[in-house]
Amino acid sequence: MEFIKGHIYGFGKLQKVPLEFGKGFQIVFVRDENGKNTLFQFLLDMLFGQKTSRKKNASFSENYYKYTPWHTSDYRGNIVYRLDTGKVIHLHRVFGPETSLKIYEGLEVNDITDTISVYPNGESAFIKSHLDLSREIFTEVSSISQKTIDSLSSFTRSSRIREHLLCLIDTGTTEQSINDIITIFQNYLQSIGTERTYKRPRNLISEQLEKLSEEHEQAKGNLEKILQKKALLKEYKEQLSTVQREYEELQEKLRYAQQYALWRRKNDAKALRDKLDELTARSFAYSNYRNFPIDQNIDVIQSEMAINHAEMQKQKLQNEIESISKEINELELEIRHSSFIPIDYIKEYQDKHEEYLKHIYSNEEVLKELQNQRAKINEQIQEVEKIVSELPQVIQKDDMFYQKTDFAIDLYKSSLKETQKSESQLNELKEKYACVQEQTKPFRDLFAGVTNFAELIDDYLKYKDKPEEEQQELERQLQETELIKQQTLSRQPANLLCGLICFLLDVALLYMFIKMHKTESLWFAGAVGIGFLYFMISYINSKRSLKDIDIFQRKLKEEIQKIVTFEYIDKHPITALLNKANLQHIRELQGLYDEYCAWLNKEEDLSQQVHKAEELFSINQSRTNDLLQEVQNLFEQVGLLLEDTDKIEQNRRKVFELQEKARMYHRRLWDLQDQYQQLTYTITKKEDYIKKIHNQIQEEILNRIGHKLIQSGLLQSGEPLTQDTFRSYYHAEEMYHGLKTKVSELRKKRLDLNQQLQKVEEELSQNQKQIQEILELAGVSSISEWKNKCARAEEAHTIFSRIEQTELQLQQLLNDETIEDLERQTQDFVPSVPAEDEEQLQLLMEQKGHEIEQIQQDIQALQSELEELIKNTRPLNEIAEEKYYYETQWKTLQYEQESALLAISILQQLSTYRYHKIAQPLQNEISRLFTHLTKGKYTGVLVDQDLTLKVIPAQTGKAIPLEAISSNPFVLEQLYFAMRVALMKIPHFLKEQLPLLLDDPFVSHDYPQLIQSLETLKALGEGQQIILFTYRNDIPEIANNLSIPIAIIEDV
Amino acid sequence: MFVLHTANLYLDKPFFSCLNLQYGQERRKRQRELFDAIINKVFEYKADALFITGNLLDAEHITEQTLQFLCDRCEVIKPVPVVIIPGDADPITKYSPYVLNTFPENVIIMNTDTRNRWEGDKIPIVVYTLTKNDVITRSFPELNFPTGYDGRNHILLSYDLPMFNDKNELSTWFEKVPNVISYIGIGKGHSFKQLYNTSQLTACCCGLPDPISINDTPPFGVLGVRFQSYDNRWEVSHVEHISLQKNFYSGIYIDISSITNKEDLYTQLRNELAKVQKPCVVHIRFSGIIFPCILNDIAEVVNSIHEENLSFSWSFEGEIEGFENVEDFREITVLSEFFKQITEEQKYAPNPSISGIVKRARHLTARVAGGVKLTIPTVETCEVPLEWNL
Repeated sequence: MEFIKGHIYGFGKLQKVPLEFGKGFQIVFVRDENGKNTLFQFLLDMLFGQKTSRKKNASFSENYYKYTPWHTSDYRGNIVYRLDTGKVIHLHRVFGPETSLKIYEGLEVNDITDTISVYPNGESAFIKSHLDLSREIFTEVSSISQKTIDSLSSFTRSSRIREHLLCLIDTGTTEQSINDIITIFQNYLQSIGTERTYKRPRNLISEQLEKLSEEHEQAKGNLEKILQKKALLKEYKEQLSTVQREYEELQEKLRYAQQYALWRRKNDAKALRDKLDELTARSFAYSNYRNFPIDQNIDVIQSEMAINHAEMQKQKLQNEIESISKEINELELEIRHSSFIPIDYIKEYQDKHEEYLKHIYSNEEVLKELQNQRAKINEQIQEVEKIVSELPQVIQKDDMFYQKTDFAIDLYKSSLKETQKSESQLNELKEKYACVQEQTKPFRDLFAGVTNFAELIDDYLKYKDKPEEEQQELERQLQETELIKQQTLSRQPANLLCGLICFLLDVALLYMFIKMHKTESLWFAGAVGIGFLYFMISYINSKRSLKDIDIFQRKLKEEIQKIVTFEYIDKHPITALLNKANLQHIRELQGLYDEYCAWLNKEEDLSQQVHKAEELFSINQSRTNDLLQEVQNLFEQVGLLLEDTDKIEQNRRKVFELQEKARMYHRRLWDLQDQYQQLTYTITKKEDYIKKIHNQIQEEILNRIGHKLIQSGLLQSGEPLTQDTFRSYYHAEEMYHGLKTKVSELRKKRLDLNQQLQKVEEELSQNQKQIQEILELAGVSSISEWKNKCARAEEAHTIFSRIEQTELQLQQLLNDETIEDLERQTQDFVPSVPAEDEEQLQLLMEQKGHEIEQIQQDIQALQSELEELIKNTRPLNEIAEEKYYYETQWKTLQYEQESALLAISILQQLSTYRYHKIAQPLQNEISRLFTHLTKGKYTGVLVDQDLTLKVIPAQTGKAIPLEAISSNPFVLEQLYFAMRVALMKIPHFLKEQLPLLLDDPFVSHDYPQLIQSLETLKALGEGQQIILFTYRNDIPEIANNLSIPIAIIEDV
Repeated sequence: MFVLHTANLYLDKPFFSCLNLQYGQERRKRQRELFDAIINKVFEYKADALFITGNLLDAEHITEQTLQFLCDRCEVIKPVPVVIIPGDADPITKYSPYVLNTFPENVIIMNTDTRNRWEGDKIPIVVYTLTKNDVITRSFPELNFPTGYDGRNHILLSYDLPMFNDKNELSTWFEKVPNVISYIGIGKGHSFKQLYNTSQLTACCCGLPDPISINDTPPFGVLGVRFQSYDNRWEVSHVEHISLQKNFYSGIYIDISSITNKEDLYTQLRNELAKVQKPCVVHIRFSGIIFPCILNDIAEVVNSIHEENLSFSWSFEGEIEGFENVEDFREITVLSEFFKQITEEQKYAPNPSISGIVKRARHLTARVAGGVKLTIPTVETCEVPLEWNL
């Protein structure tokens, strides 16, 4: 397709602007940027209209409002363009609310508007049949803007070219490729998380779900316990009411027993009063002995015995005093011979010493323990370092290695599935292909060698149906050739004669030149020589023609002979085919041939499908192998061999374990090293502390008491102070004090004995005095008379005491009451049955009371347990609701993951297939254009299966990557333009070859760059319409210098 | 004589939502308010009795607080008797709340196995319930009813009937009901129905006092049954449906094709929500062709207006402009080929689950290609498929 011309009646600021477009590269110069953009959008709006979508009542696009004419209401325009087929199309469009479009075709301008279908939005669908492209794709594929060229100007220009190519093929834009989409999906999947990620939504929800499941189970268990406890509580309450009833019954029985006991007391009191009366009567006979001091009898007997005992003791004490005095004298002699010097506050010094020693011992123990710990930690560090060093390097260095492996495996698996799918499709197609080949075989045998069946049929029918006419025709041809032969024969002698004359003349002229040296002769000789050559060639040609005519005549005669003898028909291939197929009529043979053709077409279709399926399969297979290789490489990096693909999961787990192990041991190593350092620091501090304590012992103890210990012979000079030194001191001190104490004790004992002797003597005289006083008081002269009177007085005492006892019993029984009172209280009571034991009843009541208390306590305990359980148990409905909440979220995440993976898989498959398909035709086109642009400096461009571009310099003939020519931006720009044009020229890629519309892409180019770029476009424009829309002021001059056609659009 | 008849309160039932963790608690609070409203109606109508024919509680999930609440409210209306019939959700078992808890004296729990008759001491009323044997034999061998009218109102209450779903058999059964019975109250079923109505006998399903899911159909409330007596014989004179609805469900359907900016979307959503009675559980279904930029805005707009509702979710069932609505142009780009292929795959998906995944894959790709940021539905936004919600 190419634009021919157009006219803007009113569009934005442009009004009544005629447009003319030629072939090849041309420039449309507009005075300002706004006008340039308006013109550019005009072309697009003319083709695609101004509706936002195809839907009914679709709103107008932004352009509709933006380009409403400023100075006129005539909002319309027309354009004329030519399709690749040569068809010329005229579009006349009225913009605005009453939008309309007229389409005319050809030079005769036939209105074809009504022959084209209309979309629901009222827009004609002509673009579908003409371009078969959407506005967005058309814009992106056919135009190049300043932004595009600027993005190429960065230092990554070489990679940008490929990126633009991929984006155009993938999405029809210059900004987004399938790879970008897949990356977004991968980031999305990463943001969701997997089983092996940390703190992503998936992990958090999974953790929550686990917690909730546990909580749910626990709550269920608690609920069961609550119900059991409630049932138990109910049981306890029933039990309590039973026991309370029993307690009330016991209270009733106790009341009866108390009444019964009162009745019994009244009867007992009456009996005691009778007994008291009888004893009073007997007491009158012993009234004289009532006042005898019978109680002094014991004193008399005791005093008598004491006197005898005191006399014996007195003798014993006198002997003992004598032996003690002797012993005291011996001990005092021994003390005088001892050399011990006592030290003041020795105990405090010892305590202090012990305290210091204790500190030293405890610190030494701690120190020892710390040193052991440090040694152990050191061993552990070595062990861990050994384990870590045995782990693969890559695991140690790369924390994300497992994630990479995991992703590679997932990709490999999805690719493997695709490969298997494409393999099964291939097999199915091959089977179909084999079936079709089998069906075609009989036909192929029959029509073997037949290439131009239709011509053969025509030929056969011609000779069969009209042999005479054919014969006449041949004879006519024979006659015509005979005539030509005669003419040729007649021309032969003349040619020969002229040739001979020319030859002779030529010889003569050469002779003249040799003789006269005139150059004119040489010129004439040359001209005559040419004449000679002409005549000789004519003669030779006529000879050849005669020979050919003879051969042709011979053939014609043979043909005529065949027609005459019908041999031609008999030997005709169609006759042979009819015989071979046992057919009579030619139509039947034609039918068979048509069928054969149909089968052949089918076979060819299938063959193409098989070829495509094989391609797809091989692509998938190679991709799968690459991915497998990548997975193997990853496994090899951690020393795992992948002998079998079934072991991928096993290896994945191993990698995961290795990664986890590496992390764990690293953390452990850091911990151990920290501990080791801390211990070393603590040990040093402890050692310093112990030294300090030793110094303190020297200063505070040894310097103060050491000399006294040395004098006492308990410590040698320079010897350290020990516990034994103190022990020896104490031993010596004990000995010294022991002797002193013993002496003082013996002295004290002698004094005591003297005092005792004095007391015994006093006691003896006191007892003798007491006996004498008692006898005088009783009016008795001797001890024997005292004993007789005492026996009689004891009998009287017995009677009087019995009277007192009975009176007391009666008083106790009645207490403050009288017998009459008791009779009054029990007057109505008549015992029916013997009362139960009151104490027993009270005991039982106490038991029941305890039981009630116990049950009440149990109830209270159970209630508090219940309250506690209820308080600690979250309601089951809340847990179930929360569980549902997280389960739904979990389901959503799974759904999203599966969807994203599916999208990635299909996108990868389609892009690989598309790249593979497009690579070769793109390479052909781009090579051709690039070689042309570089004037043979580069002989071609290599396009890999992944659409990586490499150029082949003519000098080396070897393909080099684009990075190698990145220092030459001009060549890269040439390559970019070649790529863009080549993309539009790829067969079957676009329906129409589009014009390349340049939306002022060279704004930022300097003058030399601009000239180079324009020259490139001019060269590219030899086979392509390229229109540069620009407002750059220096363009018209450059265009004139470079002889580039330029159209200048003036302002309104 | 006037009695209130209700059922299916499902106190402490769990209410599931995938967006709002507080939703269940809020709904349970409202359930208690509903019971309060019923108690208020007892006072307002000076009712002589309150009948609850099944599913008063969700026995599996009932809490001590709710039981205490129930006892307190029943205590308030003393001496008006509250007759409770156990239902599917609160059957009488060893650990049933009706067995383990002590209710006020005016609460009568009719146990189909041990107690199938209760006589009022202050009002002339006798309440019966069907035993298991009655249900099996489809007659009344264990109902101890008088042979003639004795001046008392005889009422049969049951959660279920032996042939509840068969209309013909049910009317035959009603004909066999003893003459003294004036009213049969049924609890089963979530919609109000008058099953039988003659001058002698009236039978009603009271339905739900308040909807518990979007599938429940109005009217919602309790039944007020008025009786009058003639010659020692009681009859139903009037059955009144008293509305008590506390919660509302709404499914809003919006064609988003005509919406081109965030403000329009906000306005339309506001207008639609204004039509819905609050508090409400709302699900909005967007359909039609959407511009990618609008799709980007839905979550934000929804977040700005959803606070007035109990649960607010949305789902998008339309297509994204320029991507999913594959136009009939040739597939010159890989992306256009992708949309063509995935549309085919969706068409021939073996089951709805796979079809859903394929549809989502298509939708996600269109979002990415259209420059829409990918957000995890349900987790990050209120976007929830309809079938997962409500």
